[in-house]
Amino acid sequence: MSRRTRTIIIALMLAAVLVPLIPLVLWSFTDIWPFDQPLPSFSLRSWEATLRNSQVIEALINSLVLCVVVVSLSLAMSFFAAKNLGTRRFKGRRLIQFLLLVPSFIPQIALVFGMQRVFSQIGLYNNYAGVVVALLVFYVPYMTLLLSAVFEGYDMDYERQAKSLGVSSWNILWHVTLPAVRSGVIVSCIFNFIGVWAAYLVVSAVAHPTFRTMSLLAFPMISSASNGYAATACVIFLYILPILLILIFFSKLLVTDTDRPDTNQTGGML
Amino acid sequence: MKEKLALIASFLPIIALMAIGYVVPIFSNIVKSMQGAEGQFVGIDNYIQVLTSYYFLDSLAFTLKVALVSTALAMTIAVVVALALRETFMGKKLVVLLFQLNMTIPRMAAAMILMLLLSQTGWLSQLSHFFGLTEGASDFPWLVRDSAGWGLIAAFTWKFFPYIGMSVLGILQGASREYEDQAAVLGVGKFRRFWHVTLPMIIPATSIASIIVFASAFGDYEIPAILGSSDHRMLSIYTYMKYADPIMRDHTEAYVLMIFMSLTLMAVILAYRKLTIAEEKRS
Repeated sequence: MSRRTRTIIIALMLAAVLVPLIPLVLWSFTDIWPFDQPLPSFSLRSWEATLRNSQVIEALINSLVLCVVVVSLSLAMSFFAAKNLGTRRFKGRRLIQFLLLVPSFIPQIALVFGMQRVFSQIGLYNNYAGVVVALLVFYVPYMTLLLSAVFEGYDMDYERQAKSLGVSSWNILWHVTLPAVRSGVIVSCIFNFIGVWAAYLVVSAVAHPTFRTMSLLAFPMISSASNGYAATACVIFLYILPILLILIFFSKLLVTDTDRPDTNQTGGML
Repeated sequence: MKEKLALIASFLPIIALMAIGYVVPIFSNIVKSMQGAEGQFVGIDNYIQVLTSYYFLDSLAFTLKVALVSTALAMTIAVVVALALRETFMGKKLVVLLFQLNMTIPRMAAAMILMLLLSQTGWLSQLSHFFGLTEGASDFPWLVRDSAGWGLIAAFTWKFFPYIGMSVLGILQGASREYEDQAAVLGVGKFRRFWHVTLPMIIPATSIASIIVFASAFGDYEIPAILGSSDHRMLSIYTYMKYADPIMRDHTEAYVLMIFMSLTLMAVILAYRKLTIAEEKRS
């Protein structure tokens, strides 16, 4: 590929990624934008209103807390299973790998109403615990697959050596295993975070009607357009912002690291 | 023995979650899908009725069209961009980071972003009006909520192409250039080199990622709920409508559609597994 072709392709790709974001940004910084003007007049009114809106702030905090809770629990629930899947060859391994794929493939619309019925019978409906468990149902299997790919490249010999030297299992986990898989674990958590952050159907199916996450707040705004584009654009901006910050903060890991789990594993974050 | 117990114990939380999150709900959906209006068992009667109806077949054809066209477009763009990103150049890290941006944007946000860009009152329409290419909003083509599904295809392609692209890029950067260089030394032309050396190398990863993209587009609810038209509905929307239908309180049709979608995607998982296991054996 010649240098010129390459430059053109990259420029087109960057345009395809960035140009669609321009109207979103413009809309959030205006309050009226007549059709015949290609650029709107500048105003901070929508931003002021959005940031003063207690519903928006509540949704942001709820989403962040929910993500931290669900990602930590998924990590705890999937870590040892993923390690076993990645480092050992045992009977039933393939079957487990197959079952773990189900959540990433079966459409949420085909599951959530059945889940809603089952959850309402075991006290996990219309409450916070229900939302957490429902998200775990989708994101623990995803996390397990991501982490098992990380453990595929993990050398068990270090652990065996530490064990033969009489190191306690807790110390092995903390000083041998975790440092070796650290970056893979972080990237898996980022992918999981992105998935939980965007989750909509599953949360709306079990959450209490007054519970609000960014997805639950944004969806009706977008589909009904009743709040106007400027207000919606501000909310969407805030909806994307945490993900952008994570991408920038962990950019080193996401761009170059070789421990990064194979994104082929599943599309749980898509 | 102790080790075996520890192995089983490590999977217990996942098994418990899968039981209450999948096994029981799917089983209960199957039971509901086989009930008549009074809750009596009617076997596959509902299936025959729903799966042969005009609306279902129209929705299935539309869903397949949108998912397949989006996947094909995303795949093509992904491979071309990955080939361009393969070499090292100035600013590559930033470019690769931006390349990943779309796949991390939540679906409903992606839908909104494309609506602000492509709708008849969107920015492109405004620009084309300003430069005199179109006369007013209604002169601009219907690109979202259109009956052909272009808005949906644009949104899925925009969101998913980086996902395939990152897998292809991973393979290209991990592979040695030896074979391609040898072929070049032997005087094999650029196109043939791509066709016979580079392409076979990236086909497995490309197809695996594309299957995931197909499945994601096939079952998505949010993007068609925002950008879909009422002329043809994607299966997820059709299912939701049947479920929310206030007249049909037993939701039977919705359950049949849910089971149909689940089974279809199960078949897709089988194809995916076949490819990934073959890849595992190869490497």
